[in-house]
Amino acid sequence: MSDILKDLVKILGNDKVAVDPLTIKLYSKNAVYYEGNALAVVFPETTDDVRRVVKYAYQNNLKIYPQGSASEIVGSTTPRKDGIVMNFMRMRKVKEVSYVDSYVVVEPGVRLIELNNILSRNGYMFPIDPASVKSATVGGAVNSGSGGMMGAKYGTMKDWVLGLEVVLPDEEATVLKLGGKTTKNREGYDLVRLIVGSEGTLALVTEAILRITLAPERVVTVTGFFRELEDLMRCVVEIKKSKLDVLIMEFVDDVTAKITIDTIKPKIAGEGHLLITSVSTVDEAASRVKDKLVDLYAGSGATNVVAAESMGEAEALGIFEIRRNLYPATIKMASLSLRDDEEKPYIFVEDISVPPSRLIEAVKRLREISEKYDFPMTLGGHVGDGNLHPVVWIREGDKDKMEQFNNFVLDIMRMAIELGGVISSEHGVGKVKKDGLVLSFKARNSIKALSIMRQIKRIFDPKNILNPDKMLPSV
Amino acid sequence: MRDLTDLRREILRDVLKCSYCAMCEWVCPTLDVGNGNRIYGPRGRINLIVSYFREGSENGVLKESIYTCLICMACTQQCPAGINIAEDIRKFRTFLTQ
Repeated sequence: MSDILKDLVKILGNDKVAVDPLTIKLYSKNAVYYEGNALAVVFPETTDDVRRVVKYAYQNNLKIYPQGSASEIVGSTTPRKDGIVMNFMRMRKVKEVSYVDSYVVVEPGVRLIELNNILSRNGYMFPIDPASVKSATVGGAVNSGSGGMMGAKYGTMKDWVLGLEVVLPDEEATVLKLGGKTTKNREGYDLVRLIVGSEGTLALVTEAILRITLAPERVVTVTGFFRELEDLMRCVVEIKKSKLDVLIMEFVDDVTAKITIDTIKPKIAGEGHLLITSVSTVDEAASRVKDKLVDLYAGSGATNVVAAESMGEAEALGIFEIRRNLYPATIKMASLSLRDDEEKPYIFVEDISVPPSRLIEAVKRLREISEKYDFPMTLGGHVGDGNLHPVVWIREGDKDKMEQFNNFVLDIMRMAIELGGVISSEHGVGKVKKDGLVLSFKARNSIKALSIMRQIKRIFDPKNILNPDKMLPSV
Repeated sequence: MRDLTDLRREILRDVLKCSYCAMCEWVCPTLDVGNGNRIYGPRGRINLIVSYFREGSENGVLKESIYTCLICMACTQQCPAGINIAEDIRKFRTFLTQ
């Protein structure tokens, strides 16, 4: 065992350090195909554990790669051989829940689903619901700036983090308490929101104070199929004008809906583009809201309209099945095309946003790009906030296709920028989209923003020991 | 006795669908007992099987991981890729034994 590893064991104890190569391998992957390596994995259980490791790392120029469940898909958690993985899954306490003041204090390893299971007992929720809600941790969601299906109403993590406890990667491994327990806070620069979405490059999050909110008393959901995208968007506009409190507005394009219907055999089927709308309401108004939504769908030319007056009924009717099965459908599509049993498909989920009013154009251009590169694509997204997730797959080891994929992503990002959108909405930048950042800031004549970001990184992390080579493009 | 080549192919074909999304882990009863270490969870087990078949990676950790699974199938219900996780682990035990 090297001196570094012996020192780590001395600092944390044997049971908080893993050096076995198979274990390290399991902590060196993310949820696409990025695979790194590391000297060891450490499992801090307290802020003081984190602080002592950081202090040692600073003195010895050891890199630290922070990680929760590593379900991210941009390469922001994968380590290199020059450092250690710091995994936060043992810091899993929900320390405080205040329904009166509407906040929770949680450690970074708490999964979002676990937090919501606790809150739901009292009719509350934490409304950030990424597709990975069952695996995503608070720390990961903070660092990724996650969003989800309810983004149109509730925004993303940046809107729900009130305060953070962080350990800085400096000589003293300084512990800072930023923000607080109040919604209103105007104490200087907003360092909390600077760290939200920083992908573990600025500081190590050891505790978060999150806003919570009442869960809707009743959720009415309607779905239907539209032959033309223009009709679907007309329906979206009508719903937005109708003064309904839209919670979820999800879209699946016609090609993807057909693939999913053919492969998954969901309870609900139809032809065309799929739109799902959930509206928050109260018990007494459920029937009226449902009728209004159904009318709006029908008035825009929807067919096979299905409506539910509660979430339970929506689940029983299978209203969300097609949207949720976007990813499994892609895997099935890939599996059918693999040449032999030992090939592995890699699934890539893109993550651009455009202003919702530009969605029709965005979908059309995405299809052109998909045809140009011959990437069979499934497409869905959060139509309420203009966030689109084209999904493609590549055969493992197919270098030509991988190179084409890089150009495919560049074209998609250029398109998003041209339509007034962004290249990353809720998944982050990681290693995948650094070129996209340059494109985006150049397009706005704001390239200096990147040099300001690099300076911020240096202030927080003077020795560049924290998650190096992520998010920010090199000069 | 089953042909091991067929068994290997059958297991590998299924486990290679894993995209590492971790949706299987939150329901795993042994992951918590194992203090959160991925080797005691379904994602870890599935990917250790991949490493064993593709790279010949094997040490005490592999067996510790595979033989601590309760085959309760909670994880199988969660997998968005439709991997028969528990069944693959059971089959892999058969493979190791034979």
